[in-house]
Amino acid sequence: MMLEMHTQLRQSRKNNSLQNLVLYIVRRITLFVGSLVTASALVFLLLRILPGDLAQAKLGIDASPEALTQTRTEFGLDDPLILQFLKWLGHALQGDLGVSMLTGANITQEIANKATVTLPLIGLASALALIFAIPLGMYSALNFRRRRGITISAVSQLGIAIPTFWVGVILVTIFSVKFQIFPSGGFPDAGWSSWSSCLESLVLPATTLALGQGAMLMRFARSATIDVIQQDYFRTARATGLTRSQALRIHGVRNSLVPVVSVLGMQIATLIVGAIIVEHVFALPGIGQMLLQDVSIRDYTKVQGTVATTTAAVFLVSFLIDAILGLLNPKSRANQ
Amino acid sequence: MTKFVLKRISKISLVCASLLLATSEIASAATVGAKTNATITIGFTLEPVSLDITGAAGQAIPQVLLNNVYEGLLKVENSGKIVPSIAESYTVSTNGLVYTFKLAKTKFHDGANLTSADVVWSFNRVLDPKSTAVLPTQKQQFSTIASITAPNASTVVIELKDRDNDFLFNLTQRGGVIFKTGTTDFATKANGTGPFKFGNWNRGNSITLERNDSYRATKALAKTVIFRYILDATALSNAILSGQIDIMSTVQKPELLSVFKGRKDLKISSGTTNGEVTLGMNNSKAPLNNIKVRQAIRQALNKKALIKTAWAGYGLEIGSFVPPTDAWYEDLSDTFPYDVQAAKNLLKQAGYPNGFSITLDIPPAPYAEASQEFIVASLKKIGINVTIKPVAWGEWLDRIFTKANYDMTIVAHVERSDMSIYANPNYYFRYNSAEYQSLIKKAGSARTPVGQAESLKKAARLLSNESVSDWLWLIPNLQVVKKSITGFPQNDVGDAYSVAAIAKE
Repeated sequence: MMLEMHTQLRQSRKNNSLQNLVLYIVRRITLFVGSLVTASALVFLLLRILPGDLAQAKLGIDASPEALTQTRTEFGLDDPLILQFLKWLGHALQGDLGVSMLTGANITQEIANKATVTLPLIGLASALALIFAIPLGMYSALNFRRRRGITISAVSQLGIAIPTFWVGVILVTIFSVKFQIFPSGGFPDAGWSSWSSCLESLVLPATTLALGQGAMLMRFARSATIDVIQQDYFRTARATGLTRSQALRIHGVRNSLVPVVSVLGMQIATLIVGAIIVEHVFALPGIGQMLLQDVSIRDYTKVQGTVATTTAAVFLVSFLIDAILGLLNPKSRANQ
Repeated sequence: MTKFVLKRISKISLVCASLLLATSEIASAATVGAKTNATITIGFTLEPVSLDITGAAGQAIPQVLLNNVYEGLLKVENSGKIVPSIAESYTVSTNGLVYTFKLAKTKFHDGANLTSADVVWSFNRVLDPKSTAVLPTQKQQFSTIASITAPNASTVVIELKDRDNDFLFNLTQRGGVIFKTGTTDFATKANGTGPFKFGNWNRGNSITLERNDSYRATKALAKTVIFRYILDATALSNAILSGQIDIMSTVQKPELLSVFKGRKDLKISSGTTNGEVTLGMNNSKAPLNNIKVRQAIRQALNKKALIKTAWAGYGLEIGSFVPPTDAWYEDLSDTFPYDVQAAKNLLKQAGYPNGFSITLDIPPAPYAEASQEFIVASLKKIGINVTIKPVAWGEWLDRIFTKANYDMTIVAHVERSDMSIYANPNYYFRYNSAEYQSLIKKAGSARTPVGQAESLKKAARLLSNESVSDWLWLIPNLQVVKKSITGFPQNDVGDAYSVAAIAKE
C-alpha cells in the first residue's frame, strides 16, 4: 500500500515534470518567434522612416523623376508598407533575404561569407574570455578579503571601464606598428584555406574583444563563487575537513557556473556590438564592417537582412542557453 | 533650380570627406632601376558598390577601373594633359563640331579585337534616352553629341550639336569607356582593354588587378595591384605604419600626418586637386561691393601663415580660381600680396578709415573651421570686426547659396573647369561683370584649346584684380607612400587612379 502510493507519487511527479518541460519549451519557442517577428518589423519600419530614398541612393542625385519612379516600381517600393514587409518576411523565413538593391549581391550569401570572419572572431573571443575569467574569478573569490583578491577585482573593473576601441588601438600600436608581430588589420583574401594567417589576423581583434568580455565574466564568476562560499552546504563541506579550494572544486564549481553561463548567453548581444567596433578598428571584412559600410552607402535592403540575421542569432543563442539552463536546473522551468 | 543647387552643394560638401584622389599616372615615371613584377597594395577608404562604371554611383568604381581595366578614346595624364588612349590620334573640323578618331590596334581582355562598332555601341548605350542603365550625369556629359558613325573598322566620327570645350575631357572619364558590343553583365564582370585585367573581388576587403601581358602599348610595371578597402581612417593609417600596404591613397585631414613624420621608410606626397578653398564675398552688398574693400581684405590675409595654421602647411597659394593642372593656370598668388599697411590705406581710400563690422558664415567643413580664427585675427588688424557664425549645410544652401543673404563665407569649390560660376550674376558671389561674362562666353565658343585657354587666362586675371573672392589655398591631394614606391599618381585630376606606372624599387 505504502509502496503503491510512493510509486504513484513519483509517476505523477514525473508526468508533471515532463509536462512542465514541454510547456517551458513551447513557451520559449513562441517567445522566440514572436520577438523575432516584432524585431524585424521594427527594423523594417525604422529603416523606412529614416530619411533617404532607396531609388535615389541607387541612381545618384542627378536622377530624373521618371527614372526614380521606374526604379521604385521595379523594386516594389510603391507597394503598401505592410505588403512589402510580409513579402520580405515570407522570403526571409525561407532563408532568402533577397538581393541588395545597390549591388545586386545575394544578401544571404554575403552574410554567410562574412560570418566566416565574424563567427570565429566571436568564438575565439568568448573562449579566451572564459579561459581567463573563470579561474581568475574563483581565485579572487577565494581571496576576496585579501589584497590579491581585491587587486584582481580592481583590475577587472578597469577592464570593463576601458572602451574596446581604445584597447584595440593600443594593441595595434604595440604589436603591429612597433614590433610588427601581428598584422594591424585585414584578413587574408584566401580565407580559411590559409588558416594560420587567418588565426594571426584574429589574435589582436579577439584579444581586444575578450578583454572587456572577460572582465565582465570574471566579476560574475567571482560574485557567484562568493555566494557559494557563503552557503550552508559549503560550510558543511568545510566541516568535513576540506580546504576552501577543495570544497569549491568538489561542491561549488558547478553551482557557481550556472549564473556565469547564463550571463555568457546574455552577453552575446554585447559581443556582436563589440564585433562591429573591433572589425572596424582592425579592418576585418566581417558582418559588422559590412553593416557599417552598407549604412554609409544606404543599402537598406542589405542592412535590413543583416540586422534581422544578427537579431535572430542573439535570440537563438539566448533561447538555447535558456533551454539548456532549463534542462539543467528544474527549478528555473517550474518557476516560469 | 533645386536640382542644380542640390547637385552643386553635394559636390561642394563632399570636399572634406572625399579629397578623392581620382588621378592618372605620371607620364615619365622615374622607374629606372625599379623592379617589375611586384605586387603593390594600395589602401583606399571607400569600396565600389558594383563594377558598373557607367551605371552605379560612387567615385570608387572609376578609381579602380578607369585607365586600369577600362579605357576611353582618350585619357588624362596626371599633369592634366589629355593624351591618346584607344584613339591613337584625332582631328577636329574647322567649325569645331566634327571629331574624327583613328583607333589603335586594340584587344579586349577576352581576346576579341576592338573595332569602331564597339565604340559606336558604347556611346549609343550611354546616349539611349530610354535606358536607365546609365547614370544621368554620364548621359548629360554627352548630350551635345549629334551623331556617331563608323566609316570603317578603325575610324569613328563624332559630330556635336554645339561646340563643347569639355567634350575631350569627358571622353577621358567614366562615361566615355569603350565596352565590347553586346556586353550585358557590367556589375560583376569587367572586360576592358586596359593595362590590367580584372582579377578578383573579395567584397568588403579588396579588389585585385592582374597585368595584361598583351597590352597594346607600354605594359604595366607591377604584376599585381591590390586595391585594399579600409573604411576607418586610423585603421588605414595603421596599415601603412605596419607595412601592410604600400600607398595610403587618402589622408582626409592633414593633422593625421603627424604620426608619419620621422618614419624613414615613408614619404608624404602632396599633389594638387581641383578644390579651391574660397573666401566668398557678397559683391552686391556694402561694404563688400567696394572693390577697394575686397582688395584690402586680400592684402590683410597672409596665405602662407594661414596654410601653415589651418592645413599643416600643405596646400598651394593660387591667387585666383584655377588649379595648376588646368591649361590656363598662372601663378597669381602675388596679386595683392600680404601687406597690412597697404590694406589699411585701401580701406581709408574706400571711405572706411575706422573699419567696419561684418559676419563670416562658417559651414561644417574642416577647412572652414580651421581657418576662421586666423581670418578674424588678421582682419582685426586692419580694423574690420568679424563675427563668426557657424551654419549647418542646410542653412548655408538656403540662406547663402540660394538667397545670397550673407557677407562672407568659406567653401571649397571642387568641380573641374568651374570658372563659369563667376559668370552667373545670381551665383552667391553676386558678381556681375559684363567683361568677365564675355570672356567666359568667348572661351566656351573657342575653336581650339589654345584659344579657350587664352580667354580663361584673362578671366582668371580679371577675377584676381577685382578680388571678387579671396582664394585661401588649393586643397592638396595628400598621400603617404613607402619610399620604395615610384610612379604613383600624385595629383587628383579626374575619376581614375591609374596604377600602370607604379613600381617597387
